[in-house]
Amino acid sequence: MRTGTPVIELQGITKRFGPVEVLTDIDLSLDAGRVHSLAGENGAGKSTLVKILGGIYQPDGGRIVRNGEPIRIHGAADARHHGIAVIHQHPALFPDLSVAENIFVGRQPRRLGRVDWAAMRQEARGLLAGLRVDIDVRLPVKMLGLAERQTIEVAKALSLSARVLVMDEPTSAISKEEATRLFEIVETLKRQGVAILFISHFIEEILHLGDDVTILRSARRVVTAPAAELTPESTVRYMVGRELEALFPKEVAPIGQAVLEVRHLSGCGFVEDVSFELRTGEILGFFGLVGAGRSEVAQMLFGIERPDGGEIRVDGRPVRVGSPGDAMQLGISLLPEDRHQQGLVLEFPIRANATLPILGRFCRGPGLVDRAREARTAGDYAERMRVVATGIEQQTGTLSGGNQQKVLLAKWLLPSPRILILDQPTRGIDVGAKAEIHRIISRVATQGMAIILISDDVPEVAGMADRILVFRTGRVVAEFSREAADHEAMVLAAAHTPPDPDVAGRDEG
Amino acid sequence: MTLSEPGTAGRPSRQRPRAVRGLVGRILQVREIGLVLILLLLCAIVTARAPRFLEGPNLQQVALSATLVCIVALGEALVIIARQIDLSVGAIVALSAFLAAAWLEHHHDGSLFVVFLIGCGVGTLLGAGNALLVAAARIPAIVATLGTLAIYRGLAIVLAEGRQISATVLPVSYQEVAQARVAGGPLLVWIAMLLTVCFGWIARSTRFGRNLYALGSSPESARFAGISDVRNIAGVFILSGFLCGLVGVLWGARFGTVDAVIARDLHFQVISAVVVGGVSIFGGSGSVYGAALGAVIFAVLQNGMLLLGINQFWLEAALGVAILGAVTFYVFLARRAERESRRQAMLARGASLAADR
Repeated sequence: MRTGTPVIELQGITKRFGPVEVLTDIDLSLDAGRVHSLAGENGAGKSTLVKILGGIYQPDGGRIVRNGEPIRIHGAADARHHGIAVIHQHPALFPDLSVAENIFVGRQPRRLGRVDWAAMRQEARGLLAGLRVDIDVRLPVKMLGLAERQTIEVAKALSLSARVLVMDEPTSAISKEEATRLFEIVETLKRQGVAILFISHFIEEILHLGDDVTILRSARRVVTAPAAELTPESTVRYMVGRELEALFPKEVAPIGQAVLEVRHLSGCGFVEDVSFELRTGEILGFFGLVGAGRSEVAQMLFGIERPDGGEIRVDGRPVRVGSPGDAMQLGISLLPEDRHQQGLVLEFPIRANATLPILGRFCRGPGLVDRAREARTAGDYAERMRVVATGIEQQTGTLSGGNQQKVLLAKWLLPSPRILILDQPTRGIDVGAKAEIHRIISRVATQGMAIILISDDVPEVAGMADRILVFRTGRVVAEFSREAADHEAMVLAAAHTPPDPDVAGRDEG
Repeated sequence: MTLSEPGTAGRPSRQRPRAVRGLVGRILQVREIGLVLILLLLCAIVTARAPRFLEGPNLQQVALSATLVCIVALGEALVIIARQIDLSVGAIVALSAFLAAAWLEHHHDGSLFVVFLIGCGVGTLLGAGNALLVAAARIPAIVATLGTLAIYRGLAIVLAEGRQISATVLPVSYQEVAQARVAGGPLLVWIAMLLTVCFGWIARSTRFGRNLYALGSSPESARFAGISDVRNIAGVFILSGFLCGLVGVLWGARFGTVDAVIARDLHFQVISAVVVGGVSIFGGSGSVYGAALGAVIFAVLQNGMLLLGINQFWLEAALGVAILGAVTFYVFLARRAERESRRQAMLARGASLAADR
């Protein structure tokens, strides 16, 4: 196939969830031997688009055209049949099976009814050699790093003669060197005439690797242009748009003395040299991309993860936070990022979830819970958080996301913390609940609580925080005051590495 | 903390409670009521074919055979609720029964109090052994207790040297424990009922109980809430061991003869009772009362089949069918609940996306 011929075209693709359009009239062409980069903020519709190409979702409008013929993609197997392969950020491989077995799982070459191991390894070696990577095909996959696993996914896709490769944020969890190697593989694939859709949060990658760039914002395609015509600044402008929201009822809170001081904190493998100070009444925003190290810092402060180095001081005194119990003793609460896995016990009623960390306070005698007092307190908080439910005995798992999040907030306000860390407190919840959570955060700040607000949502951080730290790859790379918090500058600081003199010369793309 | 909210002093906003359709729906919601109904149905069927079932001595027989399984099932239920399992219960019963009886053999007029102390002490100690392996050394419970099952049983066999301690060498007062009657019922049955209430209370109303449910349904959320898995999991294994020790002493009193191979299949019976009683094998849900009812249902099944003259060989298979039937039913219930909550989650997702736009 000639370079530049469209292999797959999306024409006017629309997708709705209930009443909401998550993709509106999207056109996208994936051409043989070219890389098409897809960019957009969280929630712009990138992953929905990937799922449509992978056959997970069916579009509600528009059509998918392959080599000039309209097709329907029914499920993942059908996508493969149409020559489309999706490489996920965390490939779903079998950790205990070898590299060769993973590439040929379910279709191992056979001779006389038994698996022909020699032929399988031979073919696997050939595939990896074609990608110019050197991995022992007999190794179990669990011995390999994330980048190598992605390579194996690519090899598998090639062995299935994929003509279209969708790479969904492959670089967000791997090192820079690994990413460079992955880009070399992408170049090899281009020469073989594969059409590639490349999705990334990192702006330099989008522009460097892509031949064409499409930018989505709020379910719509705002621009498609050759990468050469875009600059980092214009890309960010397209992603962010011009809308400025004044949704956040931040009240003015008097800012007092420092309660928490963090100095040169490092740990979790990549967080390095993080220092900051948090004062009473202050809301400190942590902004950055997913995987930038913000949650890891929060978890070190809460005793979930052990720091490798650095110092944490509360009220000027150095402290050791060995467990969540220690953190709670110091007056620290953490509202974790994943409300289903880490935050709530979904089988519990609202009451039991809200009081779980402080159940000891309702206990008399041999750990006997005073149900009446517990119910009063939980009911009181549910009321203040305006949780919509049939009552505090309703099972938490049956609540809407916004109401679950309010229960979670009640749960972590109940210990009366002095330092409240909120990790993505409004992710995936409706605007009404979001506004109420903002109202509550703002209110407790005026009462002197010191707050760390971790969020991907620029308007939220800019609207709520008194001060903003921007994280990138485990470090604090920028700090903005409330007045200086500029939307585009924040996104740029989080997503764009300023050109490195060593690498700047590399320009073959 | 004081969170004064002017203007929100009203009642919490209310959704209309989802209507529970009819009696069947309500029974499905409270599992224990369903179990009682099944139990009554079972009794009715057996009585219709063999009226002897309802006669005093027979009923007492059923109650007595249910009690010992029931007491062990109380501890096992808590263990399974915490997403663990204890396979060593039968071995602990045997070893503590044997040691208690061996002491009595040599101290013929020894106090019964000391016998119970020895039995419960040994059980607690062996339970602590399990706790050490599972909670401290982090060996998966199914493997750890499979190991201790063999070790404890082996220890009993070595200590017993193949001999039996029979009724003839044990003091009469010991066996009277099993025959004693209080307020018209056998003492053993009263003990089992008292313990059931007590453990039901532990599970429902104490912090420890709440922690077990939390650890069983979402270990990570429990960790983030500052609940120590080491301490609570250790506690539940020790408690299970204690109950097994107690049952060891009662076992000797009831059967009069103790050797190293008693209670050989007890772990199967106990886990069956717990599962049939509605405790999820994946942890986090079910109740101690359900487990106790499960033990009674099994005792009635066994006795009923005997009365109806059903071939002994069919008995085992029929019990297996009962277990699978119950579990299939619970899986059906769970799937229905999951479908419902997934539907709700989908709606919520739609709403939240709508709001984000």
